[in-house]
Amino acid sequence: MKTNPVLRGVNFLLKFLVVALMLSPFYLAFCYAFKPKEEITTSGLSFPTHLYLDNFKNAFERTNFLVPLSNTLLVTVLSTAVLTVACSMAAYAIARRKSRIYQVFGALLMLTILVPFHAYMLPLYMRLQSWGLINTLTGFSIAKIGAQVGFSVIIIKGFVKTIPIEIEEATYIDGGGVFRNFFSVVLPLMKPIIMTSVIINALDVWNEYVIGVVVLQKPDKYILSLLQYTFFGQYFVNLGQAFAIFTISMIPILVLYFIFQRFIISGIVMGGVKG
Amino acid sequence: MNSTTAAPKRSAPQRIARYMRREAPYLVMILPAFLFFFLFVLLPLIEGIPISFTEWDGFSDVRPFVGFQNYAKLFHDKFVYNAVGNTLEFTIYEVVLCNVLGLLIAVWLKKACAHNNLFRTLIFMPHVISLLLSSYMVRYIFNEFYNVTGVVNILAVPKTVIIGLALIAIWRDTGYCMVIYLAAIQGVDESLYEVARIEGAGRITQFFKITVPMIMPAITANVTLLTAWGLKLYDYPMAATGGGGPGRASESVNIYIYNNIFPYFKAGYGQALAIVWVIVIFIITQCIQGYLRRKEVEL
Repeated sequence: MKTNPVLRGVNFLLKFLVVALMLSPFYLAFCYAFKPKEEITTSGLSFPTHLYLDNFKNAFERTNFLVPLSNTLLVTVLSTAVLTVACSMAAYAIARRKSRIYQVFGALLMLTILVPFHAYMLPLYMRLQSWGLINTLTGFSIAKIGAQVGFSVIIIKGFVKTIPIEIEEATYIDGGGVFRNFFSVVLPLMKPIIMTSVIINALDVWNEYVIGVVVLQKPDKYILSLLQYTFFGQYFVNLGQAFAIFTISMIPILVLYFIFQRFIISGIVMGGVKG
Repeated sequence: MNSTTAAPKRSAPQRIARYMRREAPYLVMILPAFLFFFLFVLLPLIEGIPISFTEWDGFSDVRPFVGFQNYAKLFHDKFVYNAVGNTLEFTIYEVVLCNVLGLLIAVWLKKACAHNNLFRTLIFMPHVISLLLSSYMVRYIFNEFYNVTGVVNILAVPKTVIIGLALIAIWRDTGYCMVIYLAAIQGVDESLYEVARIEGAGRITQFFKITVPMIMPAITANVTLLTAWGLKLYDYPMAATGGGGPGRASESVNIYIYNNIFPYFKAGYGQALAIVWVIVIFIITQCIQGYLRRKEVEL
């Protein structure tokens, strides 16, 4: 296709403007985080002139940031690990077995994907309380795993159906059992979808808020979203500090995104068209 | 997969034993996922139903049974109507604008080249930030914008607050829609466009006569999913408008459910609303999905 170079230039410029608009909140957060109070009012939207870190220092001092950060890391790793193992096995059985029990389970998972957490949070709260799991990171992880099972199983199941079954038959001829077949033959083939589900689940756990509100009420058990909520709800926060908190909360997620974007996007596509 | 030929003269216990021998490893495989789902989603969902028939406060030992009273009360509660109205308004903005913008950007950035790839990555980026954090960011930015320019902060005005929340959602979810539409568009057979060009169809005709009909399944999926997201509205107003303000102008159904169950000590009433709301979400999403599926066939 040949197009006028001027039109191409205009087209590029327009695309650039749209992208710039989408990124402007990140730019603002970053600029404000690195500027002292006086400079914010005088310099407007210009790039920070030097590395000013007091906003970060003050934000750290006021929030005890490391506790929620390590809690969030812990629940993310724990929930994602359990989800990956449990859901890849379940998805395999649902994709391969015709018996009604698997199909009913699969259909139930599909149905409950639309149910908001608010619909069952009170009975769930009561159950966790009677088991002594309120205000524990285990309790939070359990609730989050339950909420994520449906989505994970559905995207993994879609992938398993594309693996030709002939590959598995060879193991059975060799006399291997179901588990050997699954762990030594099928699982290696599932690597791309497992990467995808690990990253999507990790993002979802990291970003979870309402389950945290219900399960975790003590500050020493806070995750990052709860820290953000109480911090911005309780204090009048000066701009520099607020944006310092935004910046440090975003950086791990954005780094993860840029490293694994291929898997994130393929997973989004797989989940989106089916779910 | 070994001999599954019919065995007519087996007793029931034998059949069960055979079934168990064959299925045991697979049942073990679904067990962990099933337990998490059953104990922490399905069972609580069912346990909520009896609670909705009581006037329970959420903590005391007595749970006075009141029959359908909670359900009847819902229809006379002006705050229910307020919350439903806010949630629906938000959902309509989100579904329409995210999908239209996402589709347009997808068509625009369709060609695979270095700068388009980079632009796609950057447009999707807001979607990985949590709902809560993006709300706080936008809240502070709007507020600062007001301080600097004097232009009114739309999140602080009851009439426009839902538009403000929808803007946050559009910022976050347009990239999501774009990604799904891009994948669908890349699956469309290029020769269809060539035929259309030879017959003299312009870009706009091509878009409506080829692209849209061919990617209908993706449109169905996106519209249904974003409707469900919209109806679950909770995090945005919790953060961006301090839990539904100004006044109750951005109180969503889920916020009202939460407030009844926990801070207002009206657990029975809140649970009744929650159950009705699940049913409403089902009906709305199923109707939309059914309607769009029929369109898929027609086109």
